[in-house]
Amino acid sequence: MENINRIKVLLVDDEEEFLQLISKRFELKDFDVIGASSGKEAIEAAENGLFDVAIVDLQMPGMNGAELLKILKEKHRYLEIIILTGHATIDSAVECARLGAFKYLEKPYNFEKLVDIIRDAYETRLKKKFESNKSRMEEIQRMSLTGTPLEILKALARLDNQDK
Amino acid sequence: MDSLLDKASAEGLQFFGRISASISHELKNSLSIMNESAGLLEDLAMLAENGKALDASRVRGLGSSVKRQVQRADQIIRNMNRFSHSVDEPLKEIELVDFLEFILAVSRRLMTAKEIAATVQHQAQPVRVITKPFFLHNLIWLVLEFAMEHAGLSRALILTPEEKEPGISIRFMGIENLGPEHGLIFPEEKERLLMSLLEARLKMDPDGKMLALVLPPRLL
Repeated sequence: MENINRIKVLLVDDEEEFLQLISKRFELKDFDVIGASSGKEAIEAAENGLFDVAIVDLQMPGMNGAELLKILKEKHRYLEIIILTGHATIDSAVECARLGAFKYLEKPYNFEKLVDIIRDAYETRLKKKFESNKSRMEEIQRMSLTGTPLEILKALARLDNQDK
Repeated sequence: MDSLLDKASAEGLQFFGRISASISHELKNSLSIMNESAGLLEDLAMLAENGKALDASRVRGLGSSVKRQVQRADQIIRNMNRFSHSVDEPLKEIELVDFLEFILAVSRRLMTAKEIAATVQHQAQPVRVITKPFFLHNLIWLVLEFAMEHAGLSRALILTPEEKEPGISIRFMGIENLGPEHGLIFPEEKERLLMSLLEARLKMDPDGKMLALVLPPRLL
């Protein structure tokens, strides 16, 4: 059964064996993990499930990690994304930071450090959502005094859909 | 004025960097898998210390994974070594099927990124050529890059070396819709430079589905 307190991680890498191994290790850390071996699969998985953090390989066949980062950030603004790469460059690190990556790590990395970064990313996501919820709730409170029922319903719907 | 060889060497340095970066990337992927296998073994050992039964088949599976990755990394390093030493050989006799397979092996990751699968068609008889191996590798890669950009829907390229009097030809098949306009953009200056150095010619099939690189059998 799904545990709502577990961090939900979307893991994207075209190396199947790597995907399987790291998924097992994350499960032992009590994370819920779904693997995707391409950008296209990752976009579909993100549409079908609510993830807290995505870990994305930079160089993949077809859509690369930076393109995927851009799409995921546009569609799921509170999803925090960590980039992993076997070939780190200053240019790609700057580009990923500009596109909103939470962190950029080079392979092979320290697993415990990655686990700490995932937890930090999760906390950041919760804080951002909390701030957004707070301002929306204030907006709804104001609207309940002056707005029409339709406006109030619309504001509530926006609150409900903020992860989309 | 720079000699043809100097200019080609400058181009070659860029190519060397690109292929080396791709090889090191692949090596890092292999190391990452070994790293995670070792990490998972440690995790399992820790669970066993805390009283959880150790799953022998899982441990065996992790051992096999490490062995597979060691073999993979060993092959990558052999290819890297061969690639690095190709610079030392100004003129050498090469067998083209073996040479083309080596080129595909060191560029596999770059081709996979473009979702391309390339294969070499084997010949009954070896096809040999005396040439400058490093510069020929560079030229074949540039033609391959162009072929990848114009690959058909199957995303599959077939490289066929053959003896065709009076020269040797490498055909690049699996291309679609090359028109006369492509003759204006390819070959560019860098390909022309290498073609001059290797006395090579590039032919485009009239139906736009094939490129052929024609080489002299023996470069003097």
